[in-house]
Amino acid sequence: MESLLVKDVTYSYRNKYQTVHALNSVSAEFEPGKMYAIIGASGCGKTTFLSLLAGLDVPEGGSIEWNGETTSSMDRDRYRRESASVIYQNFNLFQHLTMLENAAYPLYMRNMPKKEAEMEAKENLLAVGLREEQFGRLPNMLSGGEQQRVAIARALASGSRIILADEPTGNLDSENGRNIVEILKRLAHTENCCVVIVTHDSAVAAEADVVLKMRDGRLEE
Amino acid sequence: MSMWQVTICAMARRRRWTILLILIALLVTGTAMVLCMLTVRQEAALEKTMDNTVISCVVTDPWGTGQDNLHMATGFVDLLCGLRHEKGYYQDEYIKNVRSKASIKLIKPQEYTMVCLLTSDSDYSLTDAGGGSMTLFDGWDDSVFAGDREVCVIPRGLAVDGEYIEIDNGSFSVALRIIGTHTGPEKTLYCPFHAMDFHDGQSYMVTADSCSFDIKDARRLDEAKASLYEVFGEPNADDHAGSRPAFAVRINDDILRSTLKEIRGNIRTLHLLTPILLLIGAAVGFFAAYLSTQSRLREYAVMRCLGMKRGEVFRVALSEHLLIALVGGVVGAAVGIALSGTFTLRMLLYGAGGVFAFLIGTASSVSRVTRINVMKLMKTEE
Repeated sequence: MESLLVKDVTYSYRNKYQTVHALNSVSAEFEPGKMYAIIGASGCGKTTFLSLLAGLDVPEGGSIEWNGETTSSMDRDRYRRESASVIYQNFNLFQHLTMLENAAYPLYMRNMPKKEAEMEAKENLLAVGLREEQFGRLPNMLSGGEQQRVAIARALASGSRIILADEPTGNLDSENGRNIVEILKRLAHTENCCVVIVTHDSAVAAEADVVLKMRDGRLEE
Repeated sequence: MSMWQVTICAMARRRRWTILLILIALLVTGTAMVLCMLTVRQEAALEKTMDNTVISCVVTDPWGTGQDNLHMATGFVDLLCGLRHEKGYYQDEYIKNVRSKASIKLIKPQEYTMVCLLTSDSDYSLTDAGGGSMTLFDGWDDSVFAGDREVCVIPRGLAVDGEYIEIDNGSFSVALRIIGTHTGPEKTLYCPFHAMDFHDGQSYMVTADSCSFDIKDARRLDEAKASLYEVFGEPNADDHAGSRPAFAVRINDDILRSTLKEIRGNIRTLHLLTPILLLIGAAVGFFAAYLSTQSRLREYAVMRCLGMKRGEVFRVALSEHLLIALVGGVVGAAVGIALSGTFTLRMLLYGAGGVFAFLIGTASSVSRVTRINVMKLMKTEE
């Protein structure tokens, strides 16, 4: 069975003056069909861990495996394109593309014809509760909750099985936050995605199937 | 294709940066073309100056102080006219419009002087500037003075019976056919330069009073000077040595030289400005693209997060600037042509050089999007 397997991962940041050990011997297994929440104080290494899960860098020690292949040895660009999507607190939408174009971007990257790509993107946008009359709007004309839904629709377009969310409700009011968590939960439970959320919010963590606590670069269940 | 469409849509919406970058590309291209046009015009002016400037030369005494009453053997005039090739003199290769006159005192008509002319303007007093003129009868023209016909031009108002006038210089007498009148010096008759050479089987020594001519081709001025200085000396007021040539030639090329110096200086400056402009174009392209990409680093990081490879991100960023350079280049070329009022292939090449310099600058700036640290960028900008 496919799962995201983290084995004894270490990672540190270095600059001219110091070395900061962000992750110390972190091990975990993330399975599809479940929503995981990683909680912890600021600076404990949550975002770093999520970035490594997304394949934005490779661990210094240990390994992260998906489908039996480590992120150190795989084509990580392809991994991000096809298997793992990241959702950020500040949405990270392309400001000069419409809602529809943002949601279809991963499909454009695959050279899918524009019409076809937008057809599929429309389905994803409707699936996360957005209305068709909004599709032509630019991100700055949308609320935070709507922007985060577009980010989720964009993640869905890439067909990823792993959804990594870094404080997805951090910039949203509680109602919109709840809605976003509901969508992510649905993705895990009905679409069989592996959803990993990094959060400060205990209410969000309470919705997760598994809560992992990170402290000083170590993971505790 | 869809990526291209989306990129163009995004560029159209990012109006401020897009227009600014297009304007920069337009300026670089247009300026390069105008610079080319200015260079072409200066080069044309150089050619025109070479073609149209008359470089006059005057034979003087060795010191350059006197140019009349030279008493110069007419052989010098002959070699200037190209009549001494058989003796190895080819001065006529470099000069044209030789003017010369020689004077003979006459006893009949009494107190008259016979002036032998090589051309009608060889005597200053017969020219417009000198206040005189010459009118030839029908069937005669200036070319008669280059020959040895026994004809003459008499002062207007001089009463003569018939078509001929009898002249006598004490050595020989001859009847000259009257072919025109003049309003120059009163007691002067004019005849062709060689009309007085032979009479009654005898050769008479006539000496030239003055001699002047023009340089044939300004492009060969230095060659012409060297050739002329083989026959005549260079005027030197301080030289009193005995071995100097009997005559000197003053070549009035100062105006030409100063004009050419100015035009060549302009051309040099324009040639120097071209690489400077291209460098500025590249630098401005670099900084404009730097600022443009700096404000969008997060966008490029998101592209990487979505799985785009470094090279693909570079291609997206570069293609935007390529399109901008193309639009700016085309509009700049149109502006350059409109300002210049002309179009040449060379101008097009200059314009293309401007676009290329702009692209080099932008490409080197855009290349840094491939080196962004996505993890750090996403983390620090949160």
